[in-house]
Amino acid sequence: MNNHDPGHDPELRRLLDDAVRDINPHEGISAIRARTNEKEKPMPRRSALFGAAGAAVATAAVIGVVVATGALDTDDKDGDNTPVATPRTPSATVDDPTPATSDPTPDDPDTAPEGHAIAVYHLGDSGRGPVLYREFQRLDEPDHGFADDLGALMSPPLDPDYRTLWQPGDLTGATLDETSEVLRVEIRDAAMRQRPDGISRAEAEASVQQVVYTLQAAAGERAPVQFVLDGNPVDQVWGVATAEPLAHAFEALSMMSITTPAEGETVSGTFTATGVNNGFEAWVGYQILKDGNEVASDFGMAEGWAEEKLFPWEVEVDVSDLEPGEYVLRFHNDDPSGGTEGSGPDEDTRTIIVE
Amino acid sequence: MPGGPCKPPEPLGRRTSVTIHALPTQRRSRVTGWDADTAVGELYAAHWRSLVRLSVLLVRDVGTAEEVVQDAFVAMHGKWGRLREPDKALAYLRRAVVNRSRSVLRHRGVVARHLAKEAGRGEPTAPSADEATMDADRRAAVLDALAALPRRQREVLVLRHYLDLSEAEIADALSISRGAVKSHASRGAAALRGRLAFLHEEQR
Repeated sequence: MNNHDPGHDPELRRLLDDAVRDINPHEGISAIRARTNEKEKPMPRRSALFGAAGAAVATAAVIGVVVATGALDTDDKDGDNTPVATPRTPSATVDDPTPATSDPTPDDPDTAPEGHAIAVYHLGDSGRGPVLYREFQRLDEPDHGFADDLGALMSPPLDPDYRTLWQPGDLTGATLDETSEVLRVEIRDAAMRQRPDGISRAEAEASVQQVVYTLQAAAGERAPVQFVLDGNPVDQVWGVATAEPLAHAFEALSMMSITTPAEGETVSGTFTATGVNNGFEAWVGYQILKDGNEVASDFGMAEGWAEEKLFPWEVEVDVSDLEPGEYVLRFHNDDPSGGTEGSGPDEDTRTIIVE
Repeated sequence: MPGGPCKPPEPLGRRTSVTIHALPTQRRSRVTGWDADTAVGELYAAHWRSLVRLSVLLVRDVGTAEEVVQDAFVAMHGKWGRLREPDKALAYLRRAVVNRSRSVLRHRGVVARHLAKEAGRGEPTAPSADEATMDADRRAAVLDALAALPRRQREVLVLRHYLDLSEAEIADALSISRGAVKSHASRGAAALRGRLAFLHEEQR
């Protein structure tokens, strides 16, 4: 009992094994077979249109989508997903543990687990204007396909430094057309062609790229994104030209984005921060700030730099000498000019609670 | 067309507008030659019981656990076209069981109901002369103690000590950092030891 290494605790192992040793479940294969046979009846179209008029869009944390049975997502072509089951009830709600739609994304469990984290992009500020930050959000809900990603996209991000300008209902559904390899995203109405008051051109462009990156992340492939209205390509969205499918624009991204810790996460001792960046000589710097003053700093290295992509990094952060309390963890790229030119290096911050 | 040679379709019921040979679930694994149905059968035979037990550790209730694992198998069947290998499929099943167990806990209040029931019965710790009863009491006490832990601690402990997953695998499965895995594991273990201290005293 004095062994406090969680990695080796034969006692706990024995207790847990023992606790369920007498559990001998009923036969289950018949029920499974009955349901998998039913699943082989594909739905007529593949679509992740959800809810009427976006009514189903809730905040990311509590997405509960009522899915019309006729508009279920199926994957009848390339099909690494199954043609999706007709839900056992006419609508699937948060109370139903069965996924109502399957996510037309790569279903490798390493990237798209059931119930799961999704990657969603949000706007944040940088010296060069609004840029996109990737944020992972955990949804404790069954997988609702693109509806989850769009719902998160139109909901406030976890990190208060980020923002989204899309309102719930703006984007009413998304599909991946696997014939043309184009992601299609449906907008609410023709009024969305015009840029709203209070949204700058740069913000509008970043917001369009936000949709591109988020849907590509959801689909697991860099398919171009076509904005559509009533199923037809729309010439512009918020004043940004969208007549043709849009590719992702690398420069829209923040060149520094923290993956973990999450905003407000409690940390102690030494922990591993992770993220992606593209910075001079693959250098990854961090500072820990208390009330705006640096109390610690160090650096690590990313896996690469210079190409047009973001490279993963992992940096050990030591907070063992810090008093318990709230701090800001700031990761930033190197600025070889020393701040004398350009707009300063891209950065990302998280509030952390040291205990 | 992806996939192996066409297999005569299973009877599909009503729908006719479908290209049968493109169904992803008909895809066969390059490794095993299994199609989705075979994979379900094989994995069911090998892991049904242990997966239900895994879910019982998380949701406490056997009937609920059976439903959770059935759901996981149905989902795995649908994803076989991506998984295609037994070890990937097993990892997927485990993850699905953990996630679905969490969902039912949140939405059905399984633990809350169970704990309320237990509270009505008083502490399940009274020593009993009968060995079978003692076993049952000890098991119930462990499950109760697990159920009383914060969700993350319970999940991490079960993945670590029941499934023997590594910290990295747990971090991946739960989409949390390794630091968080460590922290939940040590706190969970300490809390569980505290709650189960009496078992020790009885054994020594």
